[in-house]
Amino acid sequence: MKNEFLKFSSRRILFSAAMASALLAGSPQMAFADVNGAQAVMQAGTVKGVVVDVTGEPVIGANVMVKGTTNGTITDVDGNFSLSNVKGTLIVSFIGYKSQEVVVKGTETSLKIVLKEDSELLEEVVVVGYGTMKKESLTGAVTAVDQKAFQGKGSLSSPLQALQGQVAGVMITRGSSAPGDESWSLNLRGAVSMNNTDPLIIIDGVASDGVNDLRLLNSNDIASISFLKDGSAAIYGSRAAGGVMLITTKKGAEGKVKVEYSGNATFKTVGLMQEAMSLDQWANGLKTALRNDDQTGNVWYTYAELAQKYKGQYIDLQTSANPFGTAAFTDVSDFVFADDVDWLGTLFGNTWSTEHSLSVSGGTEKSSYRISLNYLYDGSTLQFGDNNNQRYNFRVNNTYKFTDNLKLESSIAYNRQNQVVPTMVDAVLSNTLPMPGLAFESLNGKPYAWGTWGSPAAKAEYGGDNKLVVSAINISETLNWKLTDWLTANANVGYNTSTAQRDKVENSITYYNYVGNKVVRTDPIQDNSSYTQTSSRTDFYSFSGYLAANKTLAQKHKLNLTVGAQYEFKDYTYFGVKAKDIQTGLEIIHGSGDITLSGDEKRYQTAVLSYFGRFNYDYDGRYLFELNGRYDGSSKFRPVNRWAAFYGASIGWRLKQETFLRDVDWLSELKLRASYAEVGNQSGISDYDGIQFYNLVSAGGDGAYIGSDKISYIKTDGSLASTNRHWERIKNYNVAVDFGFLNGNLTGTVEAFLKKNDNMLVDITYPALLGDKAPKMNAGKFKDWGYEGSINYRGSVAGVNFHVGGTFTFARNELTDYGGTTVLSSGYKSTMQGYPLKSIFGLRYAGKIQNEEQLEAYKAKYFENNGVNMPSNLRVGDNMYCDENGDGKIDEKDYIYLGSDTPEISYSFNWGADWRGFDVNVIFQGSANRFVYRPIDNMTVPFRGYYTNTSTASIDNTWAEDNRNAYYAPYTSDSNINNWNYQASSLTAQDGRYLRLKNLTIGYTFPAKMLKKTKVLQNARIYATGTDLWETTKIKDGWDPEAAAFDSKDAKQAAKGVKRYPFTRNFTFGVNLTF
Amino acid sequence: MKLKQYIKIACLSSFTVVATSCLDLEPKANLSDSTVWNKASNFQLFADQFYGWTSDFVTAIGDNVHSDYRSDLVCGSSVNTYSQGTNTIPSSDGNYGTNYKRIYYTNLLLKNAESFSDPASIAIPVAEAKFFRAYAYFELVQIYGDAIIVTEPLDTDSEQLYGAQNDRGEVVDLIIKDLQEAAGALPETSTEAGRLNKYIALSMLSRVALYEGTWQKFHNGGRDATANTARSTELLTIAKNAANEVIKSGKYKLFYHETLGDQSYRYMFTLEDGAQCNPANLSKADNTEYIFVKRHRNGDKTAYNLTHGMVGNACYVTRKLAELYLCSDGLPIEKSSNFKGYKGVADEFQNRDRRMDNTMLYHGEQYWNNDGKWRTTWTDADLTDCLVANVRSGSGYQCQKWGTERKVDDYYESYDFPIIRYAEVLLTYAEAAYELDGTISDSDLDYSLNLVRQRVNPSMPKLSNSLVVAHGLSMREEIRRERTVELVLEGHRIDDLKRWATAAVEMPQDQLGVQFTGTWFETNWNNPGKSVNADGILVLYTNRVWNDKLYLYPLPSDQLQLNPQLEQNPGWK
Repeated sequence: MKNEFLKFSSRRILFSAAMASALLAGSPQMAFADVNGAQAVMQAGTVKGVVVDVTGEPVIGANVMVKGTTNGTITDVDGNFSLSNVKGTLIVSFIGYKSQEVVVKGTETSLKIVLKEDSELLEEVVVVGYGTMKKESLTGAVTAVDQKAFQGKGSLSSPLQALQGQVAGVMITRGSSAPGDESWSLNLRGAVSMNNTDPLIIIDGVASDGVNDLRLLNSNDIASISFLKDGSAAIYGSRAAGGVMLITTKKGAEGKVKVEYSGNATFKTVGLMQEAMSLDQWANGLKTALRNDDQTGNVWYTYAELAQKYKGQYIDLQTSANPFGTAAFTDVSDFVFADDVDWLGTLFGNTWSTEHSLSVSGGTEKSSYRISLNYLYDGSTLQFGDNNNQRYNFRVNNTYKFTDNLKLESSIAYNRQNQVVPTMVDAVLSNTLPMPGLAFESLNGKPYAWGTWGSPAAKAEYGGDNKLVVSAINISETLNWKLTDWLTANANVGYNTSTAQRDKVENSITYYNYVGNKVVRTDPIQDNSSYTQTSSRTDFYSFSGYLAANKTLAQKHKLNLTVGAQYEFKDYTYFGVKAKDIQTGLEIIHGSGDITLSGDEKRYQTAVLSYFGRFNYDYDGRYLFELNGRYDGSSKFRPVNRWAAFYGASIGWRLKQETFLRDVDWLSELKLRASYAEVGNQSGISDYDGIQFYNLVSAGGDGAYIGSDKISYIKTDGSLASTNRHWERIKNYNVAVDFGFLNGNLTGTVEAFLKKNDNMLVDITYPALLGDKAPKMNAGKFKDWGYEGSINYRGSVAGVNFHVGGTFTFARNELTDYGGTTVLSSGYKSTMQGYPLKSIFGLRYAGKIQNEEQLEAYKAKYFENNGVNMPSNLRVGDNMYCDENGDGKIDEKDYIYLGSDTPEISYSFNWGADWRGFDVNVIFQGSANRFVYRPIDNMTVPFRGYYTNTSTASIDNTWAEDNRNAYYAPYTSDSNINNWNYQASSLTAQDGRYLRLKNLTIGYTFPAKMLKKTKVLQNARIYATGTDLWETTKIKDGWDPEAAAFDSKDAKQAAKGVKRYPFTRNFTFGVNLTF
Repeated sequence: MKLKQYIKIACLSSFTVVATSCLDLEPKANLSDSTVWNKASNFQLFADQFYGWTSDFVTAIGDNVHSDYRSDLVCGSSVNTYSQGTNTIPSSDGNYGTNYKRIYYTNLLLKNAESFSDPASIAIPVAEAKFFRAYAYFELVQIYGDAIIVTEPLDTDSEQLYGAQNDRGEVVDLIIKDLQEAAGALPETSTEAGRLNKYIALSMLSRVALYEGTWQKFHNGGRDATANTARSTELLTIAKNAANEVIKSGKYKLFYHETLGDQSYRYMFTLEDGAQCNPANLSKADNTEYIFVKRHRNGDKTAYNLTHGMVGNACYVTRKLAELYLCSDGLPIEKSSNFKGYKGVADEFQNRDRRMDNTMLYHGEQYWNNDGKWRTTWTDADLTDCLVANVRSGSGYQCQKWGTERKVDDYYESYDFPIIRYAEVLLTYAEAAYELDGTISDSDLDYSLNLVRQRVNPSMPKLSNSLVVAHGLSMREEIRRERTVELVLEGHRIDDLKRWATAAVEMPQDQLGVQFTGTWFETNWNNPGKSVNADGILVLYTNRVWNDKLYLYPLPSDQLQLNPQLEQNPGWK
C-alpha cells in the first residue's frame, strides 16, 4: 500500500513539477508531452504550412517543433514554415500566444495554424521573493507590471516615470524636472514611519541601493516588476517595512537572432511656471508698498519713478550724472531699465531629449542570450550654461543549461550617467529674482553686474560646470540545480559596484557695466575660484542560497517549501578635495591656493545575515495558505540586540472554484484574501548604533583662526548615543477580493490595508539642557491605513480592440503617539500627535481688517502678550486670525491643522484601443487630499524686498475698499507685517489636488505584408506621445501642482536650484523596429 | 514560541555557512569615546572647538541680543521690534539651546578630565573649558537672568533636565569660580595668536562682576541708588581688582600712532594684515589694545557686510549718540560755550570729542569705502578721487565706524572683532571704583578713564572731581558717557542700560535725527519722508515703549512646554 501510494504520488509530483517548470518557460502545453506522447506514432514526412493570428495576419518567428524531438523551425515573414522528417505532433508556439498542438497525419503542404493571443499568459506567473508563484494561487497583495508598461512612453529618465499613478497602492511623485535630478520618489501604500521606508528594490535577485538607483536603469531591459505591498514581503524581514519591488530583466529566448531597435525624440516645453512682474508692474507695486509704509523718502521710491521715466533706456554713469547725486547708488555704474526682459521666460525655454535602444537576442536549447544597449540624452529647460544628463546602458543576460538539471542565469550590466549642471545653479535659480529692468548681459555680450548683483545668466554661463560621472556594474549569477523532481537548489552571487565622481569648477567671474567697457565687479574673486573633486565608491556583495521543494499529496494537497540563507555586505567610502585659485579650462584638480578636504569624508560598512523561508499550502485550488518569515541579524546593532525574527501569514479562498460557483458563467474569478505580517525597519538606526561618535575637523576647515591657520578640532557628531534601541516593527494587515466577470474581460481587485508601527523610532525633544541631539527612541506609535482598487475591461467591437481601466489608492497616516512632548509651532510639522506626517499648522484666517475701528479693536483685544509675533504697526487691510481656543490670547495654542503635504489619494484612469494597426492610449492621473504651504520668500510675498521681483499673482488682488476680500494684504516691505500676513494660515495653505492628462499616445503598426517587402523588418511601429499635456489644479501661485512645497526648514526642499525647474510638457515621436 | 520556530528554520537553512562574526564591524570614519579621551592632545583638540563660539561683528551689529541695533543709539531703515519694545514670546530661541549645547561640550571635557591619568598635561584645555563654560553661562544670565545650572553631561533620563532655574546669583558664582580657576591655570601670554591667557580670563571676570554688581545695586536700589548691598559690594570689588590686575600687568596699551594722530581710534577698528589699510601702514600686530578677539584672516569671507552695512546711509545714527559727545572743553553740549549749534550742516561737529568724527561722517566730508572710491596711495593724493558725504538720507547723521578705505570685496574685510579691549577694562575699573565707594579719586580717573578720553583728545580737560563740581556734572553720568561713546557699536549699550536699570528712561524716547527746521537741512533736503517734531527735529521712530519685563528676555515657549518646572520671566507670563 505504502509503495503504491508513493508510486502514485510521485507521478503526481512529477507532473506538477513539470507543470511548474513549463509555466516558468511560458508554454504550458509542453507539459503534456509525456501524457500524449504515446498517441502520436506516425510516419515521417515533410510538412508545410502557415501560422497566422486570429485576424489573419502572419505570425513571424513562431516556433514549430516536432514534439519530443529537437526537430524544429521558425516561421518566415509570411508566417510560412517547412519542416521535413515530421512524425507525430507539431507544437507551434510564440510569445504572447497560446501554444497549439497539431497532430500531423502525413505529408501535408497547406497546414493553417491559427494562434490565439493569450493576454493572461504573461501575468500568470508572478515573481515573488525567492521564487515565482502562479497568480491564481497568490494570497498576498502582489501586483505585477510587465514590459508593456514601458513601451512607447517616450524617453524615460526612470522606469518610475512610466508607472506614476498606474499601479494601485504604488505612490510615485517627482521632485523636480532638472535633468538627472528628477528625484522620483516611491512608496507603497503610504508611509509607515517617520523614518525612511522606501521599498526594498531587488533587481534579478540582488538588492539595489535605493529608489534613486532606478534612474540608472534602462526601462527597455525590464521584463517585469512585482510590487509586494503587504505581508508577502515578510520574507525580506527587516527591510520589508516599505514593501518590496522586484525587477526582473529580459532574457533571450530560444530561436533565431532577433534584433530590436527603438528610438524616440522628445520635444520639451515649459509647462506651468510662475510669472514675474514687468517693469511697470513692479515699479507701481513698489511705489504703492513704500507709500503704504510712509517711506516715500526712500531712494527706492525715486528709483521706481526713474525706472518708469526711462523705461526701455539706460543711464551710463560714465557719460551722465548720477540722478541720485551722491545720496545713493554711489557704487553702481549705470541704471538699466529694459522693458522687454522676461526673466523667467528667458531663463527657461524649450529643449530636446532623445533615447535609442538596441537589443540582440536569441539562443539555442543549451543557451540563450540578450545583449542590449541604450543611450539617453536629456536636455535642460535652463537656457544658460551647460546642463544635461546622459545615460549609457549595456546589459548582457545569458542563460546556460549545463545539463538538463543545472542552469546558470547570468546578468551583467554596466550603467553610466554623465550629468552636467552649472556649478552656481543655486544662485542662478533662487527665489530672489532681481527687479525687472536689469539686463541679462551687457550690450556687447559680457557678464553684467549692477552694484553687488551679478546676472544669473553669467553665473550659469561662466561660473563653471559641475560634472557628475556615475559608473555602475551590476552582476547577478544564479545557479539553479534541480536535485530531484521535487527539490531545487538555487544559489545567487550578486555584486554591485558603483563609483560617483563629481568635478565642480567654480570660476571667478568678471562682471562689466551695461555698456560693457568697464569692470565693475569680480565674484568670486580669483583667490576664491575653486575646483572641488569628490568621489564615492560603493561595493555591495550578496550571497544567497535556498532550497525549494514542491510536492502534491493525494492530488489535492499542494505543498511548497522554500528555505534559505543570505549574507549581504556593503562598503561605502567618500572623500572630497577642494583647491582654490584655479586656472580656467583645466579639468583636473589643481589650484595655487588653499587645498582642503571637503570635511564630510565618510566610510562605513554594514552587513546583514539572514535566514528565510516560505511555506505554501494549496488545497484543491480552493483554499490557500502561506507562511513566510525571516530571521535577520544586522551589523548596525550591538550583539545583544542584533537579531530579530519577522514573519507573515496569509490565506486565500478561491470561491469560484467551489462547486456552487463553478458553473456560474458570468463570473470568471472570485477570490478572497487576507494577510497579517510583522516586518521590520532599520532605517532609523545609525550604522554603528550605541557608540558616541566624534568627528575630527581638519585644519583649514571651519575651525577658529588661531595662530597661522584655521585650527583642527574634535567635536561630537552632534548626537548622543543610545544603547537600547531596536528595529521598528510594523504590523501589516491586508484583506482583498479579486474578481473577474464576462469571461475574464472585466477584472479587478479591491484591497484594504492597515499598517501599525508601535515602536517607531522618534526624535524626542528634550529640554535644551541635554546639549546634543537626543538619540531616537522606540517611543512612537504610527499607523497608516487605506484602500486601493483597480479595474480593467478589455473588449472588442467591430474589429476594434479596446480597454479601459483605472486605479485608485487612498492612504492616510497618523502619528498616534509621539512618545514625547510635542511643541506646537506654525508651518510644517511631522511630529504632532494625532496628525499625519508633513502636516501644516497655522492660524485660522478671520478676514482682513476692514477699517480703523476694527484695527483698534483687534489690537486692543489681542496685541498684549500675544505669542504669534503680531506686529505693533498692524494696518487696515492686514489679516486677522481667530483666537481659536477662546482664551482671549492669540498664541501657539490657537494653531489649527491645515492639511498635510502628503497626498492621501492617488488615482488614474486609462483608455486605449487598436484597430487595423492603429492604436491610441490615454492616461489621466491625479492626486487629492494634499495641501501646500509655501513659506515666506520674495516670490510668494510681494515687495518683501525692494530690489527683487515678485509673482504677478498679487496684481488686482490686494485689499482695497472696493476689493475687501482680496487674497493679498496691501503691499508693504515691512517684514513684521509680511511675516504676519503670510504665515501659515487657513488662507495661505493651498489645496494641492490636481488631475492631469499624463499621457496620450497614438501609434501605427505597419502590416506584416508590407514589411515583408523590406525582407529584413519583422515588426515596425511609429508613435507620437504627449505627456503632461493638460491639467486642472487649485494651486494659486503659478507652480506646478506636482512640485514640492519648498519647506524652508528642509535644506533639500529649499526653493532654489534644481527645485525651481518648471515641469515640462513633452511631445515624443518614436519608432520601434524588429529585425 | 515564534522565535524557536524560526531558529529551527534558520538551522535547517544553514547550508550556506556563514559565521555570525561577519556582523561585527567597527566604525571606520569616526572617533569614539575610547579613542578620544585617552590622549592629552585630544583634550586640546576638543577644547579648540570652543574658540569658534565667541562674539563676532554679527553679535554687535547684526540683529542679536547684544546688538546696538536693539539699543537706543542707532537704528536701521525698518523698525527693530526689540528696540521698539514690542517683541513677544518666541516659540523657540536659538540663544537658549546654543548656550546649553556649549555648556554640555565643556562639561563633557571636564567630566572626562576627572578620570584622565595625567591631569597636568591637560591643565590648559581644562582651563579653556572652564572659561568657555563661564562665557556661555554669562550669556544665559545676561539674556534670561536665572538659569538652570548643569555642571556635568546629562542623560535623557536625568532628572536635572526637568529642574527649576537656579537664582542668577548662584550662576554668577559659578561663572566667577570658573573664571578664577581658568585665570590661575592659563599662561601669562597666549601661546598662539587668538588663544586664551590669564588676562583674558581676568578681563572677562571684571566684566561679569561689574555687570552683576551694578545689576544687583540698581535693580535692588533703583536706578539712582547710591548705597550698595553686600552682594554688589562683593562683586564690584572683584570687578575692580580683576581690572586692576590687568592694568598692573602692563601687557596692554591703548592703541595710538603718531601718523594716525587723532584718527588712531578709527583706524584701530580696521587694522588688517596682507594689505595696506591705513596711512601709517600698520597691521594687526601693531594693535596693543585688543585683549581677546575673534580673528579674521585676509581672504576669508565674513558673515557681515561691514563697510557697506555700516558706512554712509546704511546705519542710521541717532541724534542721541551725536549729542552724547562732549565738547572739546570736556563739557556736555548744553553746558559748553564751544558748541556751535545746528544751523550749518556740519556746525555741530565743530569743537567736539574727536571720537565723534572718528565714528560719524558729516556732510561734505571726503571719505572712501571699499568699492566706490577707495584709497590707493594713502596720501592726500587720494583726496582727488574720493566720495563726499551727502547726509540727506536716513537720520541725517551717518556712521563710518567699521568701514574700510581699501579696495576689498564686500564681506572680505578681515579686521578682528574686539571681544574685550583694554579701553573697556580701564572703563570697568573706573566704574567699579566709583560704584563701590560712591566716589572716585582723580588719580584713579587718571589711572583709567582719562587715558581713554585723551587718546584722541590730548587737549581735552581730564574728567576730575573739580570739573564735575565746577560745572554741576554728575560723576556717574560722565563715567557712563565715556563708556557709551567709546564702546558704541561694539555690542555693549543695551546690556549697559539693562544693568544700570536706566532702560525705562532711555529706551522709550523717540529715536531722532537731525535738527531739520531752521537749518541747512530744511532748505537742502527735499523730502526726508519723515515727520518733524515740535522742536523741528526729524523723528525716526516714535511710540517706543519700555516695560520692565524687557530687562530679561522671555523664555521660549517650547522650553516651557518641555520643562514645566521652568518659570517664565516676570511680566511675560
